[in-house]
This record gives sequence, structure tokens and C-alpha cells, in this order.
Amino acid sequence: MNELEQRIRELMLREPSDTLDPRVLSALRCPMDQGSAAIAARESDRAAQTSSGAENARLVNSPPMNEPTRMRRGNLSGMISGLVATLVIGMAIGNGLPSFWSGFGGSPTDRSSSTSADGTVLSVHDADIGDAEFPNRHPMMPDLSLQLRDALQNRPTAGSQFVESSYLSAIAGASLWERQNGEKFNVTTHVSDRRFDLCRDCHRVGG
Amino acid sequence: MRPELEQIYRQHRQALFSLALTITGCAGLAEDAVHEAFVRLCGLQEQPSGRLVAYVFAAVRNAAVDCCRRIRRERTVVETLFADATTPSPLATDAANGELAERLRREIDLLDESTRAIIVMKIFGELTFDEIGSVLNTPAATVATRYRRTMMTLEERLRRDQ
Repeated sequence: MNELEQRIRELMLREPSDTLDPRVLSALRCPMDQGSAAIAARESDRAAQTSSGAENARLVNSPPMNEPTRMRRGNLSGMISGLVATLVIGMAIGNGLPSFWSGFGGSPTDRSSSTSADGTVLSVHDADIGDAEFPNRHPMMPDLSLQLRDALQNRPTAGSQFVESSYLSAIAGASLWERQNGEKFNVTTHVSDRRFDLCRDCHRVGG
Repeated sequence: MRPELEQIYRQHRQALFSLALTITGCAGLAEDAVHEAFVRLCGLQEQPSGRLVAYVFAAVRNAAVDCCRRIRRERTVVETLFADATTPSPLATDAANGELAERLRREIDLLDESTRAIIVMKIFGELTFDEIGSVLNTPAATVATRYRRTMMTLEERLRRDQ
């Protein structure tokens, strides 16, 4: 051991308080089995929350300590289970909502367009749009006049962009198709499950 | 095993308390940690492998870490490891030695937590580097290197201040 180590060894370490010896020695001397040792450990955990050590730490530190870890874990698991329950309830409501709406004649979106028995596109807007002139532009190009018209007629535009654009393309494309082919447009032969198939047909005929 | 634990406590109580104090930075919490460690050790059914004294130091260290975690303590203030400077060391006979000891105390208190723990276990607990490594979950060679480097740094600082 060199000189510095010797000097450090000569320094007097701080003494623990008088209460430590009785606490430790009583723990060492009292007879207990493993179960009681576990209980004692839990008691020691609890004591650490309220003992002079914890009190000192409260005084020393700022901000003060909060609840113990066990409580935090409880809060966290409660929060997670709450979130899961909310998700499940939300999914159940989401799944049941369409049938709920159908009981009242369908949702506004459902009612906005449908297909009749003979395959003709039916819509609540048919009367307004059916005779509308097909704009001289590409159907996918945004048209300020259409947007302005929709806004004036209080139709959904930006909020239901997908539905509205496919709907307009279907009606306008159908009238163009009928003019060019001289036939009655039958949506079942042109529209599959995907609405944009109609757009593709219109594109093919030069719409 | 309890008589051996009691003997270890009596022999190393200051070093065990200092190790816990190094980790918690608070004397009260350090006492709680030492107590908790011995309560847990009393519940042991089998003799741990290796030297029991190293196992006790490891238990105290773990209990101190647990104490800090349990109360989410931020170590904003660290209490000194050493007795009050006004308490005369029996070996510090003259004023020069007293001044040197005081500087040494200050320098050690300024060290980081793990380095102070190594010093406490090596010098006051008289553990080997292997045992300290097992307590800190660090390779013994790393512990030895850090210890020697700290000693050199302390020597240099004390020489510079003279």
C-alpha cells in the first residue's frame, strides 16, 4: 500500500447514527424463517418511506419525492387497461354504427348514391347534376367553378373529396359516354366494386 | 451464518455505511439501505459462494440502489463520506498533516459515485479487485485501472496544491 492509500485509510469515515446498530443487530439476532424474513423486508420497504432516511431525503431534495414505485406501476397498468377497454368499446361502436344507421334508412353517405335494379346510377343529386354540362377539362383536374358551385349548393367537397370526385366523374362520364356511343349507360357493365374503374372507362373514351 | 454476518457488520459497519452513502448521498437513506440489506441477508437459506464479506457489500450496494429507485431520489446534494473536519484524526498529528487530510477529504468527496465506491471497498473494506468487480458488475481489470488512475489523479492534485 503506497503512501496515499495509507493517508486515505487514516481519514476517519463518518459514523452512522446510533439507531443503525440496534436495527441491524436486532435483525440479525431475532429468529425468523424465510417467510418472516420476507415480511421483514417488506416492512423495511415500508419503513424506508417514512423513516428518517426518507425524511432526510425529502429535506435534501427538491422537488419532494412522490409515491412509491409500486403505486406508479399500479397507475400505469390501470392506464393501459383503460386504454385497451376504450379501444375495444370504440371498435364495438364502430362496427355497430353502420347497422344502426341502416335502421334509420342509411347514413347520409349511403343515401348520396346507390345503384338501382337496372343498374342505373341513382343519386340524391341526380336532378341537379344529371343535366349538367360536362366540363371541358380533365376529370381529375381541380376546377374552381365546380368547387364554387359545390360550396354554394352546400355540398360536401373537401371533407369528402374521394366520394365527391368519384360521384361527379361517374355522372359526368356517363352522360359523355351516352352521347358518344348512343347507348344507355349501364353502370354494372362499367363499374366494378372499385369506383375508379368508371374513371378508367371515361379516360379510355376520351373523357 | 448470522454470527458471521454480525461479525462482518461489526468489522465493516463504517465501510458498509460509506458505500451506501456513496450511492444514496444521504445518511438516513444509507442507514436504511444497510438495515434492509441485513434483513434480506438474514433470510438467506444457503451460504453464498465466494467470500461472504464481498456478498454483504454487494447486498448493501443493491439495497442502496433500490432505496434510491423507490423514492426516485435525485442526487442533488451529496453528503461527505468522512467525519467532521473538526474531529481530529488520531494519526494527523501536526497541522500540515491535518491540512493535507482535509484536502484529501475534499478531493475524494468530489469524485464520482462509482469511483468513491471503489475507494471505499478497496481501502476501507479491503476487498480485492475481483470482489469489487463482482459487486459492481464490472471486470476486475477495469476496476483496477480506474482505481490506479484515481490514485494518480489524487496524488497529482495534492502535489499541485502544495
